[in-house]
Amino acid sequence: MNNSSRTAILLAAAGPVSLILACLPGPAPIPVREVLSILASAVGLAPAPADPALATVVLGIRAARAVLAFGVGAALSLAGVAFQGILRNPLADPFTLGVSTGAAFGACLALALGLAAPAFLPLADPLPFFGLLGAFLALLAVLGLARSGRELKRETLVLAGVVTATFLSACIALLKALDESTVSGLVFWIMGSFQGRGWGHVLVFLPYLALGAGLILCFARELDILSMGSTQARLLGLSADRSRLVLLLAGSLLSGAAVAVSGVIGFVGLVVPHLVRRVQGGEHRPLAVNAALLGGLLLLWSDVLARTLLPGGVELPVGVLTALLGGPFFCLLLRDRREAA
Amino acid sequence: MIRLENVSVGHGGRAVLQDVSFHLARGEAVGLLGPNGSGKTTLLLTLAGALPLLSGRVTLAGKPLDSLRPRERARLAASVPQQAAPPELRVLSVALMGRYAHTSFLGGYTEEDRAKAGNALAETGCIHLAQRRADRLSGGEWRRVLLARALAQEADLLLLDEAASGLDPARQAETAELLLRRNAAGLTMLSAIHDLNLAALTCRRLLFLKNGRLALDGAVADVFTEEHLSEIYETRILVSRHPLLGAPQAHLAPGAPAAPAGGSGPGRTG
Repeated sequence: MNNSSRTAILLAAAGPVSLILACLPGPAPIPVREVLSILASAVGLAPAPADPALATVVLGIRAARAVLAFGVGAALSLAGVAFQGILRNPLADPFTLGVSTGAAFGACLALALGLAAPAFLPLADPLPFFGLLGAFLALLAVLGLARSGRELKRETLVLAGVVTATFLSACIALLKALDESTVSGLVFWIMGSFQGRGWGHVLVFLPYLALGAGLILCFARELDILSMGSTQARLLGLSADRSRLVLLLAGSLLSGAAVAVSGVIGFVGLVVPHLVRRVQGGEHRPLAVNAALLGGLLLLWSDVLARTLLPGGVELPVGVLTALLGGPFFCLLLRDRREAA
Repeated sequence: MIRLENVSVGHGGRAVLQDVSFHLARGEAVGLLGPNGSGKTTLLLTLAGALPLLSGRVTLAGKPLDSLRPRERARLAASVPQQAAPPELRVLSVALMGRYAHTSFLGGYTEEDRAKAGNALAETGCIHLAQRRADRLSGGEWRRVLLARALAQEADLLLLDEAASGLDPARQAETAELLLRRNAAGLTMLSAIHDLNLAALTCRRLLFLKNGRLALDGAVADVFTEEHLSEIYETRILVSRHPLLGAPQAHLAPGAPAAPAGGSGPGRTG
């Protein structure tokens, strides 16, 4: 068995264990035995629990949040894998490219204007759709900005992403100021959080995750080839432009849907693919699988920390935690690259 | 195998190749020579379909080059590029890329593809590197991996851009022998080479580019002469016989007294 399958099995096993552990802590003190029996009853292994209120806390709040956080972490990491591979840029991820903020702006605009999804798309919740739209448009804008020179430089691309993200953040703040008086909504979109998320959000999010992940796994070979550059891709018989478009769309789809349910959560898509690449190399199929699993775990535990770190049931936005982790990591990468160049 | 008619190619508004015409028959081994910046790499990239034509026509295996889908084209012509940044992938994964044009959309690489990639690596003497990371190889090792990738492509036409440059003499000789063997088995080759002597040993026909135009085209014995070489490279070049193989070999003469005047205006084609 090779290194990458071993990693995948370990990570896949850690997933369910983490989901159970994540249901244990919380502001409402529920004994461990109680939590376990509620979870067991949910999967039909035990009789219904005595207290339905406790069951609601464990299943309706904690378990749903854990599953959603896992899914969003997986989506952001997969998007990071796709963006880094296509753009051949180790600094690229949905956050640094401005794609996440684009998605947040799309979703906010749809909320403010009360837009509905087009009639041909039978969507229960139009937000992820507008998130996707915002994500893709922001991505095109960033690529256009960065390409104004002759070629796409690593630092220029990220600079264009940061500029776009800052501008769109301001637009979101403006929308929110016109729309409502509190800043809580604004903080949700800009710093990201799973507060108040439930199974409804999981159901809205899952189809996008499945589609995006499927596309990226189907195009893993093409990602390998694209990571050698467009000229090489053409020599090898790949229609580089078409594959690149599909993959950019898949990345936008994942980022857009993730942002629509959880706001902008930075750096997950940057850090996770790098860690996985270190362990098992850059082949994109195992990279995508392992990055999705590790990203899920990372965000799940970040969310557990975010809701338990402060006393008295006060929550940190989870985006604060990922930025605390990801910011220094990003600086390390930036320095590494400069030394390598 | 491949025919060029009045081909012009440029990038960034500047024409790099102008009005180039020639034809390669199946099984030929042709060297592409010329000074730096004469358009050799541009010509090879054009034939591989990586650069668009400004004007003219390229026919590959009887079909217009631009009518072929990328996969069809890659099954007909394989390239060993001069420059390619090694990716963070294992060597075997890079060699497998040569099989991409033979895979179906959802099929993935088969065991047969893996075997062929492995054979190609063995043939270029890189099989021991198969599990190593490509970005941690030496320059010479990476060049042989790129050659293996092109061989795994199993195309009838091989376009080589300085495939043997940067290799030590033993590896260079091995690579030359490999290419001669493949050519004897029917592979058509067009090979851009800076090393004039290696070109004379491995090719039977030579094309010389100069300033984006085809300056000379002919059998090695006819074009590999002191007059032609000295004029094309604008420096004094002497030619003698290879002591064992008899092929003409070129010698630079830096520091020698100035050449006697004479021999102006060698015959040109094109």
